Amino acid sequence: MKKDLLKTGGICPLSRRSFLKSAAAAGILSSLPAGILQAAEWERTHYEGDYETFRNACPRNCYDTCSIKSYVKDGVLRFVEGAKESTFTGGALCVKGFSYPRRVYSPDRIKYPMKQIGRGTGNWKRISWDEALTEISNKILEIKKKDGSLLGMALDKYSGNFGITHYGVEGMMSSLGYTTRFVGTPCWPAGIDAQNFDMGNMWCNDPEDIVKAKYIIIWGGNPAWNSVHSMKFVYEAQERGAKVVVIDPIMTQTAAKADLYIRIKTSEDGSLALGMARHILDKKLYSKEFTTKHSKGFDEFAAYLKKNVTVEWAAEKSGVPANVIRQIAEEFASASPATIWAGYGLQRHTNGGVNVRAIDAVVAMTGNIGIEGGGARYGHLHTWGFNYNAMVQKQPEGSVGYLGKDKIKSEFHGPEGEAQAAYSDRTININKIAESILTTNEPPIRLLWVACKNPFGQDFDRNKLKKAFDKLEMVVTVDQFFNETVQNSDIVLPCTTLFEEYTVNVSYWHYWIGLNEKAIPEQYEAKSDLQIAAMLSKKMNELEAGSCTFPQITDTKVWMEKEFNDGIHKLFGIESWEDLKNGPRKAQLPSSASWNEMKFGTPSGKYEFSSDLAAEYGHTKLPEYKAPRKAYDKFRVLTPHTQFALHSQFNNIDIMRDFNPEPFVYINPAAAAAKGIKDGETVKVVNKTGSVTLKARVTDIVAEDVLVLYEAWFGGKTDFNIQELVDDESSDMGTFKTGAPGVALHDQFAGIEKA
Amino acid sequence: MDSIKRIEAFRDFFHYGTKEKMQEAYARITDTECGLTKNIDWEAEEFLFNRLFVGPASPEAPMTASVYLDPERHTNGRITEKVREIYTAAGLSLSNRGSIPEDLLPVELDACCILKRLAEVDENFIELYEQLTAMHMYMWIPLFTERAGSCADESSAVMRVLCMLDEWIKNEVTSLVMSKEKI
Repeated sequence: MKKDLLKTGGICPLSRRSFLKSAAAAGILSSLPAGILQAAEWERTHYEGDYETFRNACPRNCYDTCSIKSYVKDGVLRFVEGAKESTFTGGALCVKGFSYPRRVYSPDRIKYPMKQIGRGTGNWKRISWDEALTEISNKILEIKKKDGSLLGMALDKYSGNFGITHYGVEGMMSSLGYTTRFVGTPCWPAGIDAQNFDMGNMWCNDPEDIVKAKYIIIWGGNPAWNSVHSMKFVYEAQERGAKVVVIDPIMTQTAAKADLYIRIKTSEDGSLALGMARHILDKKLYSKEFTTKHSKGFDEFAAYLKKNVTVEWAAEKSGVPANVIRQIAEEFASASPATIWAGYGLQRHTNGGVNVRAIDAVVAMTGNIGIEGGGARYGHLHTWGFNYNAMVQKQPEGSVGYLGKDKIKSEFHGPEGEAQAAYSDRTININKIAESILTTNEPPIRLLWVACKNPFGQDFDRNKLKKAFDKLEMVVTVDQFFNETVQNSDIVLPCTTLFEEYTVNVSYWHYWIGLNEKAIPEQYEAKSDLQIAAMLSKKMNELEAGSCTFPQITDTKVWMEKEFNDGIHKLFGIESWEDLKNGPRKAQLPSSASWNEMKFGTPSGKYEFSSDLAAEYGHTKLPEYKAPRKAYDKFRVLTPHTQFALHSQFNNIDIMRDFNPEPFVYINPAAAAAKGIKDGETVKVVNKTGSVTLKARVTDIVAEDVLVLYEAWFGGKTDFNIQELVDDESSDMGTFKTGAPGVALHDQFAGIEKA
Repeated sequence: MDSIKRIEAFRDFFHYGTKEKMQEAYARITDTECGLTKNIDWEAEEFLFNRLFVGPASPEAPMTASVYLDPERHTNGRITEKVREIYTAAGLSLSNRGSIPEDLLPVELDACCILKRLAEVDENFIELYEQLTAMHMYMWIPLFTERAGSCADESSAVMRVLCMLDEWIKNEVTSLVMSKEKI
């Protein structure tokens, strides 16, 4: 017996550090450009043993939405790999995806419902689900009694989990009554509006067709970190002879792979695009067919350019030499197809939306809209036509709500089925959460429900947010890990990972659909958002019959099945969701090109260089130059995504901290020398919003007037929070399609000194 | 106190994590060892317990063997599998298999109770008990109690239980070794 017992499974030959290196190496190898050496055929690990396999789909807020194949033995998730059926995922995951088993079984996961005795004290008691839901339900009933409505209950939810059934959280709120909702998006709204004004929708080419492009400009994005699977298509295009140009204020890893890197002054993207447009116009390199047949307002745009824009002016504004502007303008206009990938970073400015419009205009005037390998690529929601069954819930009879005209909007779905209701929810800009909690009255926000979001990690002006949370009577946070938002909550409810529930996922970038199966049991006492909603409904009705309409279904598979419809079946060529057990499927599209029929969704049905709709929303009809936000401190502060995390997710996983142990501020050597700052020295970055103290990295990847700090919570022993430096200044666009403007989070400024 | 009941008391102390259950288990443990339970702020003990072992913040001393024995701190990996094999050999499995790791302290203590009872009627289970305690728990509980102890107030009830748990596993293994030497 002893001999048998001691004969354990094979010992993993890889250490933690080498695991991460392997994962990173796999990602690098799978996306190597042509050279003397090339990546060998991906050598799949040969797995011995009796594993059950499951289909999963990464629900993170990421371009790639990877299709995952999960291997389970003895009820334990042993490892994951990319689904080879998806030509986008291509059998690989990013380094974050490969770390999922570590995340699922982290000792740091929140295991039980817990109540904090004194918000922020760190004195936590373990409570049962029944106790937690009773306390929350009593608070809800108390608010309803006190205010006569549930507008004092607010939901703060965004992109922590994009599984379609997670819109059940919104459904849970509706099922309780009319509530306050933080709407809009901190992510990409200015660009969404821009593309809607120009083309009538946000609709990008299939990213896999970028291989057909002859000229690729990646503008304000860093897919080498944030869309690793897209890079292999960029590399293939390069192998086929395409030129890749990266325009970015930071010399990113993507820029390092480009044929030409252009450092631009931050927020001057519009001037560069307009300068290119002027040169294309002067050289008569624009498409007469597209501009005459498929567009509206080109003559006005041309007149604007001739009157207001010169290449020299653009060079002065953007910091890009005039000869380079002329070169890329001519090359772009002469190549066919040519494409621009507009990253989300470039629209996070007070002029971000109009800058995207200027970039769209360059693509359009050169006739690159509607063709395979071309396009002004930003994102799409064409595969998101689910039922949103969990989200569409009816308010309890007699519910009283908001009588204002505001309606809920979100980029991912339409109105919530209450179009004709006399009352509505009260909607507030998600990017002004701190200010809104502090100033909203009649009734004030008393109870805040946080799900799929870490506002202290992602929302702006951390110090104001702390004051706002202090005003709230109760904060309930649903999360997997402790963070600053949980620290400022009264009750925390543990939620499941993707491997512990059923759902379905699609991407806002590629065109694949992935089933997400429940591969392992819920860990400890974790529940999915839907299970929590169902359990809350049960408790509410126990305490007051008819007070919640949410169906008391706790089987996530049942909820997942309800999301499918004929439209989804037809789009993906499936008979039912069960076909997805065989692997992810790609939408069956007549062309990989968006707008391939040249039927635009604008009022004119054409591409609109001049948009009356834009004017209705307070913008210029044409994509005219708009000056950047005025600097209020010496250095511009940029806070882009880090490589080893997705916002505040993954940062806290120990294997990530091995490679990303602490935050740094990156400063140009000349700027550092002027301040007497040496590499590795501790510095303090200060502005009107707050300050952070951290080590400096001296590097010429950043310009002399720029400081770069990667975003989000780093966990561990640091209390670093980038939101100490970011205020809630709005971007120019977003209200049209997402209900609220975005936030100009890259229009921030600060000073720096040795600590 | 009967040896099995003592292990049950340890199990309950670490399993429930509420002040009422902790107090009740503590009384059972100390009735035989230390006596009185008065002058203890059980609310503060509960907060300390959660800070050390449960969360929601990262526990300072997670009560999972893998954290101490696996070179990569990988829970549900090789160490958990080894413990699961011992349970399987004894005909045991978690009722909520896959929801919690088999090498969680209260689970292992529960297994100790069961194996000890089984060993009373079938000596084949003695070897399994030895494997679980001498070859596994003895390897990590001292590390666990040391780590937790370094983060806890020395006068706390939690600290006292940690000391007693440490003492128990050392004594248990010593007596197992001595009984073997007699043979």
